[in-house]
Amino acid sequence: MSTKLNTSIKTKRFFDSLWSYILLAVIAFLFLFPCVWLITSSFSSTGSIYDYVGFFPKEFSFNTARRR
Amino acid sequence: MSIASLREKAVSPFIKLKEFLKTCEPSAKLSMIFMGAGQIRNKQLGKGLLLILAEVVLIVYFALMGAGDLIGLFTLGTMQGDPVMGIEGDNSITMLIRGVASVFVIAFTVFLYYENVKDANNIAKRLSEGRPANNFKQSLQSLLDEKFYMVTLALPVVGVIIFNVLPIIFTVLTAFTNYSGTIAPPRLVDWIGFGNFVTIFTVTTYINTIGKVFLWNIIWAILSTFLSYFGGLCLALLVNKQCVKGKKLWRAFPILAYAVPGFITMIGFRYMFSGMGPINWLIVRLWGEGARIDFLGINSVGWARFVCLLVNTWVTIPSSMLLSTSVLSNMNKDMYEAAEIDGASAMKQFFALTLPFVFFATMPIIITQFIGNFNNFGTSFFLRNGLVNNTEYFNANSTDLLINWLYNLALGGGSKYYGIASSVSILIFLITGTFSLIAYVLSPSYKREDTYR
Repeated sequence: MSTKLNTSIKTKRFFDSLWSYILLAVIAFLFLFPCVWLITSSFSSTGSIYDYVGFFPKEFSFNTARRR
Repeated sequence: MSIASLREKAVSPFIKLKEFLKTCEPSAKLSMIFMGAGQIRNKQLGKGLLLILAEVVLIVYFALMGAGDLIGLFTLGTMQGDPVMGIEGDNSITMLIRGVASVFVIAFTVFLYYENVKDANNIAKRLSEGRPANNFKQSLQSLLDEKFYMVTLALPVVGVIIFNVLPIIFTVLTAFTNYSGTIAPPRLVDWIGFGNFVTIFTVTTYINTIGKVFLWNIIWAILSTFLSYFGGLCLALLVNKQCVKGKKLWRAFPILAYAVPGFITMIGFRYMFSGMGPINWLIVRLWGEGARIDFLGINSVGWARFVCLLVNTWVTIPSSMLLSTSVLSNMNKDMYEAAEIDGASAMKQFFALTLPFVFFATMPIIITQFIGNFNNFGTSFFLRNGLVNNTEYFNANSTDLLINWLYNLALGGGSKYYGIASSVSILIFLITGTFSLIAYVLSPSYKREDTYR
């Protein structure tokens, strides 16, 4: 009886922490992605948004940081 | 209040003055005639001479500038400039500012006069009672000692008056003039009373726009405050859960987003949601060209509002999470244990324990956040700046708040409606001022100040 109760509490705890972690991972991605995206776009080779394929530039370089 | 008591209130200062004239010392009467004369009769030469000098300076100011400035405040210029004829006309806006400044000087003069008479009377009384009065040196020393607050406050107060109060009064007064892009110096600007308010509430284009903008403004303020507050609270509670390990790591992600300045991320989001941005690229890749969504386009309403709320929530949740985390760390853990033993569910614990406590601690902050969101200029400006040639709105778009509309009226577009924009700013002030006063007085932090001590 007591072991049965224990396992049901354990599975409950497991699913509780499982959805917590999944939710946290999604939130972390939502906050991290735009920041990473902003930073990577500063390393695009031409600095022009027209050189992008989808979210990221075609090729990366330090061009935008170079003096012109 | 009856008319008789009103009259009594209006007359009482004069009666008081009459009584004062009967009972006051001769020095006070001398000071009334000329500032500083009473002080000299009291044998306070230094103070008396300074006051006499002040009066002379003030008289010279009023004779040379002040009187003219004050009249200019009422006329706002009578002579229109004409470069062809070589006539240098009046500059109404300069006259308005100088007029306001002269009113300040008048207020200062009245204050100085009042203090001067009071001082003369008090010192004379002291002397007649046989007590010694401070000499000039002692008066100066007291400024560095028990009256040091005057010395330290003098400069800030003057600065605030010149750099804060004067511009605010100038803006408020602009609302009652016809100052705009077409009516501006060298053309003469005129007082038109409540004409701008009448325009806003009677001319169809204005009343249509302000109605829609105001409605969205209210919805926006409520939704964005709600989303950011409860988003932050839920996130804080989620990270605080016992089963979650690596709390610092999970908190680091929102804080990283917090570290990037909001306007930069907003400009980033503007591109991300634009017609040729990555989100639309993804949509087209997944569902074909027909599924393309015009998120922030000029005539977009629902999507634009949704994206604005989303972006604003993204920007504000981290700070709200930090706030909630710090408030939660002050909570008494024993209460939760007791609740658990009593069999309260997690939901029940949240609504009965967590929420009242957090509400109590943060109500003033919610009010300021609500006002801040009511006047959230940035989101609509950075996401949709310049999209004003809309068929539904006059000088605004579907996500613009009153403050954006005000900005567009005053500074965007060709004809700069300064007067009308100032009237809108007064309306905004009336709304936010009334709201925050009511909300604060009704809030538990104000009513039950000692609940959680």
